[in-house]
Amino acid sequence: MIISKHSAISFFSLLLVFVFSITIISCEEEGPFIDMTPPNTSLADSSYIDSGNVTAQQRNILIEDFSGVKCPNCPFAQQKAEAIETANPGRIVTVVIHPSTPSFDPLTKPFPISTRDFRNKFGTLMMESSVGPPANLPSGSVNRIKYGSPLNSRTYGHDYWESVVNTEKAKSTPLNLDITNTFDAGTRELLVTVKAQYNTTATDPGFHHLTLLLIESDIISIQDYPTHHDTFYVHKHVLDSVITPIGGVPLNKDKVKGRTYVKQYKITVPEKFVAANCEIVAIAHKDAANVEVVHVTKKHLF
Amino acid sequence: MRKVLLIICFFIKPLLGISQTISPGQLSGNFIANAAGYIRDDRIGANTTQYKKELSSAEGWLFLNYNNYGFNVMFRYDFFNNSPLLNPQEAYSNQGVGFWQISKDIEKLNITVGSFYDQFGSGAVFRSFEDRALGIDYAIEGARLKYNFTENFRLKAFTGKEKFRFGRRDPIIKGINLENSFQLSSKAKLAAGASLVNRTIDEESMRTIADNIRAYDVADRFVPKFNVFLYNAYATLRFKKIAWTVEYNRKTREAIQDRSGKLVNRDGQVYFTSLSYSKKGLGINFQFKRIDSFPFRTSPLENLLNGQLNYLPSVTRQNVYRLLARFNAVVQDLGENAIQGDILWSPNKKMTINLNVSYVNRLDAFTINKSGISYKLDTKNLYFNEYYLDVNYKFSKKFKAMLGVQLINYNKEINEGKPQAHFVHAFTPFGEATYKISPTKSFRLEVQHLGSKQDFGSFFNALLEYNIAPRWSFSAGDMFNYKPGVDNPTNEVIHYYTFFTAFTQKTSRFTLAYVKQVAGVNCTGGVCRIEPAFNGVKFTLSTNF
Repeated sequence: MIISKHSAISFFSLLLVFVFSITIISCEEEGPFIDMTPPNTSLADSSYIDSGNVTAQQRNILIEDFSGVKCPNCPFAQQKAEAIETANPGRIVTVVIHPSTPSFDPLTKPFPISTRDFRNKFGTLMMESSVGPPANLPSGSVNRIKYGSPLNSRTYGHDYWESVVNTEKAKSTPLNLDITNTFDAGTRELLVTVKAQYNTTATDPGFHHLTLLLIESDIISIQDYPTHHDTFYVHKHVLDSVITPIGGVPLNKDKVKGRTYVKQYKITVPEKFVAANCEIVAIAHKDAANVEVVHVTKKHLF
Repeated sequence: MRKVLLIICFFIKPLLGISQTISPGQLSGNFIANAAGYIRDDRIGANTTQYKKELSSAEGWLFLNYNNYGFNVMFRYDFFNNSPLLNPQEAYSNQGVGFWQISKDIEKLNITVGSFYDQFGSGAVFRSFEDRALGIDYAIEGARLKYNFTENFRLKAFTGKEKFRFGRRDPIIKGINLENSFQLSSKAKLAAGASLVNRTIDEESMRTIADNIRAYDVADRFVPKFNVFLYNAYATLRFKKIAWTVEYNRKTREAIQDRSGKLVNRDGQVYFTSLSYSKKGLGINFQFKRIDSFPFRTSPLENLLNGQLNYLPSVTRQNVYRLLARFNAVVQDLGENAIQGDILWSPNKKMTINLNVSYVNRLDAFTINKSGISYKLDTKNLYFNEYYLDVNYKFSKKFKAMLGVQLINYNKEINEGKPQAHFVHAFTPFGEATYKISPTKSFRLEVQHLGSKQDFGSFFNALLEYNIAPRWSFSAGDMFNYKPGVDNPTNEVIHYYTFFTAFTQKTSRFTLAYVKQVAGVNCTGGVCRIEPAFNGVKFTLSTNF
């Protein structure tokens, strides 16, 4: 059999397709971040019904402020959050998240003289799994409520936060949240116990979830402004870590009045965190299908 | 029509710099329309939204093809009014351009922009196609190049997005394919090809995929890939009266949904081979296919027939008679082994015998290793099995008849995705007789009896058809569920009557029918969907020009 010129060309072309295939398939790509580390499991996990009288707490409001040290307008968002806190004493819990993704890194990556890198996997993951990445910085979410027209975003500019806070604070919460803790300054071991108790029977779909965070304030480090850098800027409410799994732990027995869940966690607070400036934040929120926050509270380590 | 033609010419002419007389080119097309009126019948489950609210529905497609100056322009206008065609549980209404294409040959190169249908090999790595009966339109919208090096040697490449109703799905699809055929000797010919296909997931879909995975236990989590690659190689060798086809398809690791809907990270492969022998009066065909984790859709979040990008052919017989087609093997893209043998024998000019046997079973129920071949055919491992025999006999120029039997073993839980459904055994003898009264008038009678204790039980079906060629056709039939089975919605004996009439005028055909149809799996070439029962009136029109 004599192989013709065309046959030879086509044979090599087929070979080329295979070589081309293997070359492209071998290329590595960067996938989304998936946390493969085992979650911090609850030390105590009990649930019971308290038949005594339960007094309903006022519903507190969570402001998640997505920020960056190289974002010149971000200090104004922080000022706005502080103004809302002052106007609503004890009702607002602010958490500042410095997300780390290729699109946000130019605004959140630290300066060479920064004292800390505020970016961490917790903030990025929490953002991605709850409200989704905002279109720009500064941006934020109030109780992870959708806002704007046509209600298609859970993140929006700080000019809108007050309006959402006013709507949200008029609502009641079906859950009371109480944090107790001990902190051993020598070992830096933090033992947190959270009691979540239904003050009424909740009827919204799905189970509520509980997420515990560790935030830190009064960190002095450089921050960009539109006209200058502030080397002594005081960063507040910065998210350090998430104690529970990122999406929270489900409170999944039922949601009847008096149902009480007690969850206990132990972590070692890293040396770089100033324990005196750290606070534990407990967020009660809906499930992944509707991430809205139903209540939030916080407590200093000591 | 002339106005449309002149408008198209008016726009194309300046593009081509033509100053001489405008050539009218060629314009052709077709129009197909369906309409239905719904009569609610809760006994058979004919109670979807159309029976409760809309009461009627219609769909239509106007297709135009214009050819001039080496350009080929295709255009299709679709409309759906309260239509259940795209989703049997939905009343979908929308209209617009459903398909458009501009194509041009430049010597050996063909450029196509717009919507197109295509296929690489058997379609396991890529097939874009339309099946109106199932409400499927998997057209790709983008660009495609074809280059014919020689008459036998061709390269194809494309990139685009899959059409979804009147929009597009976000992931990007691209692919390249080479095909050639070689004349090895005067009696032997080899046709071979190879392909590479890639799909890149969009950010929004990936975010949802990642969120799903993050909710899993740590042991079940994985990092999903934006890109999945599929590649294949295939060849058909023809030697005298024998043809042998082999095809190997591979898919890189990606997130796919397992049977419970959970995302798992798997690669996949499909093996296919067929061996056939044919000579005058005898045709023998043997096929084997093994599928291992090979779903390929626009996104792993899609399921059933949504966003399908490939086609896994069914290695089972495609039946047409009403009761014989009641149970179909739905191709299991997560995994199956399928084997089929088919013999068509005509011992003389009057008689034809057709024998078909097929088995589809669990992927791990068939293994080949050093200790030999092992297989399991119990109801847990068997997905589908059919024995089929028919004998056709032509008694005279006026009268011919056919008798046959079919035995089906059908795993309803797997094929219809109904947990705990009973495994179905059905035995169906059937027959058909055609009698020509005159050269233009004929009667046709078909009769089937399906005996089963499971599913909806036993049915009897008879249909009498009267044809007056070339214009009229009438038929009346009754399929009745005389012995209801364990899954029947009611214990009543229900008659599924059909009255049908068709009128043909040159290239136009009109049909009007009253149909009562049992719920079941509707399949075309292995692509299947579960359809609810129907009770009402159907009108169709199809015409070519």
